[in-house]
Amino acid sequence: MVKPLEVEIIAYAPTAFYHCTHCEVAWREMGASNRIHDEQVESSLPEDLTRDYQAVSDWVREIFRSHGDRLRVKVIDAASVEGVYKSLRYNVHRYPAVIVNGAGRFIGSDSLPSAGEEINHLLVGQNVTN
Amino acid sequence: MNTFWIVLIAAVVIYLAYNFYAKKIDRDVIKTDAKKATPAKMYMDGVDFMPTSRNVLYGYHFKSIAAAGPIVGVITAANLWGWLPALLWLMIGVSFIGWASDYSAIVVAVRNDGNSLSAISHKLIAPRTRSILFTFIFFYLLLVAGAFLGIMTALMAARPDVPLGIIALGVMGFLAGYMLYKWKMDLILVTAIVVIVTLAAMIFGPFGAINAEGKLDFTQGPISSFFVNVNKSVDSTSGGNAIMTVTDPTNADPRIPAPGADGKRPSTALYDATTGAIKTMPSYLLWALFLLVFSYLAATRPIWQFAQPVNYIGFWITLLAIGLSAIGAILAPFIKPDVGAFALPAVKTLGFEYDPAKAWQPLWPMLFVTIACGAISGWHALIGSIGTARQLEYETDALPVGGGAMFTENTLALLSLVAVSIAGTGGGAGRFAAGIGSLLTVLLGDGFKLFGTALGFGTFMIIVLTVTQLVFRVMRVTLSEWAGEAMPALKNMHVSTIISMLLTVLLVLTGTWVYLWQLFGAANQLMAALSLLIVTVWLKEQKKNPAYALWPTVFMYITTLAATLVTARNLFVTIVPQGGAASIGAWAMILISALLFVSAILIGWDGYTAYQRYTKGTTTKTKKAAAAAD
Repeated sequence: MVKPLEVEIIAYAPTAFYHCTHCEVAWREMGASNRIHDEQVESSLPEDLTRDYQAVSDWVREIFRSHGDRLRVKVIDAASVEGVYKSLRYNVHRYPAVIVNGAGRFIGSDSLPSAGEEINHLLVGQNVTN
Repeated sequence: MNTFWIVLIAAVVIYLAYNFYAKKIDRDVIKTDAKKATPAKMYMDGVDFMPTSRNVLYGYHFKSIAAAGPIVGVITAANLWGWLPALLWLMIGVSFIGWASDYSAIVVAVRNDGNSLSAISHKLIAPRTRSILFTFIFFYLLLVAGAFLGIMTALMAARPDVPLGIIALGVMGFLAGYMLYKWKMDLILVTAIVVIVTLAAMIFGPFGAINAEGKLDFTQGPISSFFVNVNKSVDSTSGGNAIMTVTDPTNADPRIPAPGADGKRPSTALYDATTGAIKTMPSYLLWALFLLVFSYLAATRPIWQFAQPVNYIGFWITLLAIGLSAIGAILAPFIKPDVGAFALPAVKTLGFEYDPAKAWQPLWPMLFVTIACGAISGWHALIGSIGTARQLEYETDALPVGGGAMFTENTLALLSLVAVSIAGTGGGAGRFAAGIGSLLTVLLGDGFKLFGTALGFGTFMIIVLTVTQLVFRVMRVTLSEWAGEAMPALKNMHVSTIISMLLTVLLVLTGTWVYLWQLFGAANQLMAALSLLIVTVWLKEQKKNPAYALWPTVFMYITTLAATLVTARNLFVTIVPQGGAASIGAWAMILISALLFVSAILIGWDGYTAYQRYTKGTTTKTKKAAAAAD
């Protein structure tokens, strides 16, 4: 079994505040929680950052379509403890940032295609090795 | 008793409950299977449905609304009954009910395509109970907003060392939103600036407030004396007279001083020890207004401009204060045994003595609604069940993610219990803050006690305020959904927010936030019971043994019903006779109690009917199968 390629994405992510699990279950069954959470998510980022996040989502969907289980993707909200830790660790100061296998750094929405190429390149390399 | 034993007991109980009970249910009843495809794999779209490592799910990046429940509930209960009942319920509750509720909520959603429990719950809930519960949500939120606003306002009015930190939190939150999301400034730099400034404002609130006799005197320090003068000048608008007086039969109001060495409470400028009257001064309304403006911004501005950055700063400060205190609690018995020793009695009272004219707080049922989160509740916000169910990589991850997170929340509740128990004097929030201050001295030295206590107050305020600001946001959405068609004005977010706030203020003016908290706890536990009920019926429908969910459901129902009756009785006996605004608020709470009670009865009946339906269905099918076999 080949170890999946690790892809970490640090980005400002939309935020929804959740209540305790059992309340979420009950609220959802009453049809209340969607409106509550949607309203929060809709206003959780300025328009430009929402577009950036949408670009990241589309890109993730695309690389999943191409590579499926051979990737392990992790999206980290920059404005979180883990986001700060990863930003320090990878010396990232702009978002979104894609880190491939803990080494390759691709900063900004414009560099998503380059990150995709790097992933392709690494996975092709894996195929050759195997 | 000291902190070491609490840590040891908790570690042993959690280990046994998780490994010998939770895993057994997971293995023998639910029979999770790592080979079964989860919705995350079946419908993988890279956005909603995405297989995610259980380690990531455990610390999911949905923002927390902070864990006020396990802190407020525990300190209230420890003050009412002593630390032992609180400890027992925390341990038993999480071992037999808490983890089961959260784990089951996730696993049932996973087995229903990650969608919802609709196939089962619509039969249970719609249409009658569904409508009742939708109304119920608004009152549920009203109760938590009232309880939290009440305690925060009293704290800010009574402690002049607290306001600067909270003002700094608001200002830094507003700036952080723009610096991070609009001006795209460096995350690390912005984080360092806003967290350090807020932290400093909280810690140095009591700077210099020690008089010549070495006692705390808020008229001395530059910061606290400023706020003392602010309060005085505001109070002078009424000629120094109270706007109204209230009583708090539970003695939990922060304006009530701690008992002296003789066990009696002294009279102060705000409290008359002879009559038990607490004065509501104009400065109290000033701080209530301040907190409402704070919450208004969070409820009506885009999330990124205020609510999210305030939560972000708050999370860092809470992490620092709670993390360092937890280390202090573990090390205290070895480094500073005097700090780690419990000052609170194990059992203050069981509360069963009955006086027709006084508040009644019997251990059962009131303990079980006073401590909700920490014993049975979800890990606040970190894991939304729908998100988790759609991202669970393997079915077998449901237990470590759902159950494990609940046990983690339990440890936070235990830390609160430790903090409250080691502090000898003060009201609920005061004990918590003093406990945090003492635990921090283990690492930072005795000189830090004053500032550590201030940080404890600040942390308490952050935890409660970050919840309250979001509760108002949810309230305005719910109110506009619920009544917007009948009253179109409520669709305007400013109108719905202001109405929600006015109703909350009405409840706050009753002056008995403990009753509000206990009613909220009952409402919360009713939600828990509903969740467990859905799981029980699902287990029955799946022909699995429902006992592990059924008995907790029954217990939570009976307890919730009894607790609402007791609270309504307490309000009627102790607050209604006062007349005036307090009386109106008390009647409003009694009405909410009645609503809760009726809701619980109806939900219980519907659940019982559904359970019977599946029981009969099972029996009929079994008989048919047996006949066919013959």
